[in-house]
Amino acid sequence: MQRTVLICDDAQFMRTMLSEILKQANFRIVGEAQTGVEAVTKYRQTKPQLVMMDIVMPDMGGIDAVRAIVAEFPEARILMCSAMGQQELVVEAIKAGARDFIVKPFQPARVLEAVQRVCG
Amino acid sequence: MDLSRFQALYAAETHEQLERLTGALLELDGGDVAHGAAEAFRAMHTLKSVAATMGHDAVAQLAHELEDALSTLRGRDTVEATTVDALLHGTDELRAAVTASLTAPVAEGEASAGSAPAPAARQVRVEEDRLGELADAVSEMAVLQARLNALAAAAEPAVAGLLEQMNRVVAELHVEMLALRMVPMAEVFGGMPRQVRDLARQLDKQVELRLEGGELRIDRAILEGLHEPLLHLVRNAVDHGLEPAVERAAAGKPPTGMLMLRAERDRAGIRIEVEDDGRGVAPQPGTAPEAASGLDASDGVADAMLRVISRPGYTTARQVTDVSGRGVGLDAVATKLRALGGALSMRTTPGAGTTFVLRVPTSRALTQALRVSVGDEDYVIPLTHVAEAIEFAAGSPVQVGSGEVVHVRGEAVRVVRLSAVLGTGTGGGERAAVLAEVGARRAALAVDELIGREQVLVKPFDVARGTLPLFSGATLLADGHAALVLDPASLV
Repeated sequence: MQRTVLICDDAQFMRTMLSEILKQANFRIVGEAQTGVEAVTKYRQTKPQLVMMDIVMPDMGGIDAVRAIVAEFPEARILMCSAMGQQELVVEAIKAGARDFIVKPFQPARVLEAVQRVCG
Repeated sequence: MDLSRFQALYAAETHEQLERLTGALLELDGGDVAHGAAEAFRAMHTLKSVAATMGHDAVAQLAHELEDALSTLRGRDTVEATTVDALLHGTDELRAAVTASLTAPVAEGEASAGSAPAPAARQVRVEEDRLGELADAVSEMAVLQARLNALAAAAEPAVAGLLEQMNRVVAELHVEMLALRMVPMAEVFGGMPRQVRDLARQLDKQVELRLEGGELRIDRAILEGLHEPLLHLVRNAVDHGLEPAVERAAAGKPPTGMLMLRAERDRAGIRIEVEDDGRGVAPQPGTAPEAASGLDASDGVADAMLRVISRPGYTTARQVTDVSGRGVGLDAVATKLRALGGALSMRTTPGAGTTFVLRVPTSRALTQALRVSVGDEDYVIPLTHVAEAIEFAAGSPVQVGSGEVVHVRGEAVRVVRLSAVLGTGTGGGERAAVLAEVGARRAALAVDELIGREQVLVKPFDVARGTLPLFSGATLLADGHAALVLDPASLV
């Protein structure tokens, strides 16, 4: 059975890239979000099995979005997408309830490894 | 994974982020520093990630360095103009690096055997020509449909019913077709803040630029044609219209000059105003009598002066500099706008400012036109070349030599009776004329009656050049009648 994923990133490029990688791993993309607020709303609507969450987004950042989602849905599986040099933010995101993280630029194999770790 | 498939997306994303970055950096310059810095940081960050993912390391490295520079701005209330200069310069370098990366071969990512999945199709790119062909086909369908409608009156009710349904679908299709080619005005406004800032710094002036109406949508072809004229008027306003701070203070004005770019809908399409609160354009006595003659100093209207300063012969003449200091290139602006089916006009009040008004249609296919009757037929004349419509007063036009002229605000204009040109054989009943302007040439096209303005869909003739010299196309009028579109350029 296909697993479902919500992709949150303000850059279309990144969303498309992640979609491609995850589709190859038999994921179904149930939604895309460009802001933290949108991520929370779309999570409520789609209840995906996995969330790919960018840290830097307009209106509500990824970390606050993690807090909001986890407060409502403690079972949420969120994978942070960070960039080089964001170690402190990654730690904060994990404390907020994210399950794991990957570092941009994405290597498809690394992404899939992390997804495997989070989804089991 | 073959990254070359993402090259177009990379180009679009980097373009968007560079625009966003420039906008955010300009915000640092006297605007909301915290917001500008955060926004610039996000744009830079995304650029870096995207470039790194594509393997364009030079771009990523440059973005990384700029990101570091930006991080020093956090928590500050003000940023020096020189710092903004440096950051904008860095953005230019980044843009150059991105441009170079677009032509560079894309690094292969990790090899992935297996079949390549179809890319996520959220947007499609379409060649403009094909869109144009599609638009032509839709227009042609509208013409056929109108002919069918004319026949349907005599047909069975079932046919009429079906035809009515089809009318709705064709109308919808037409609207959708036009919408496909529409883009927001913001695309042409976007580059202006940077231009204004750079020029103001160079000339040591203080200028505040305000933009309004960026959300209005307009045909891409028209938008692209607007870029140069707008840029020209904006640069002119900063260079010649707005005074240096000292001069402004002496005139009792705030030291910062105001420049406003405002787009609004109007009946003929979109109207864009380029307004400054600078010194205005004042005619110098004796240098431009033509300009002074039509100028009403009391209300500051100076369209007549515009006609003078925007004529090709005046652009490089000394008089122009004496008149206004801003004549150079206005003829190019006016010509370009006419080519787009638009027009240029101007208001000015000496000492208080100048406003240039650009009018363009929102779409090339749909044109505003004047419907006139000559003999038993109706014709349409695109407003592009129409300066004004006049009713003949008693005793007008007057015979002068072998021709006729009509006086329009003191100027004698040659009269062309359309009945004679079109060979309708009914002359003599003309009560009105359309004052047509093509470049510097003018003529009053005499018609029996002015019927009114209409939005028409022009279908150009696909015939050998010269075989139908008077007409540029045919159109369907709102009441279902077909009419020929007169080409003023061949008549004036």
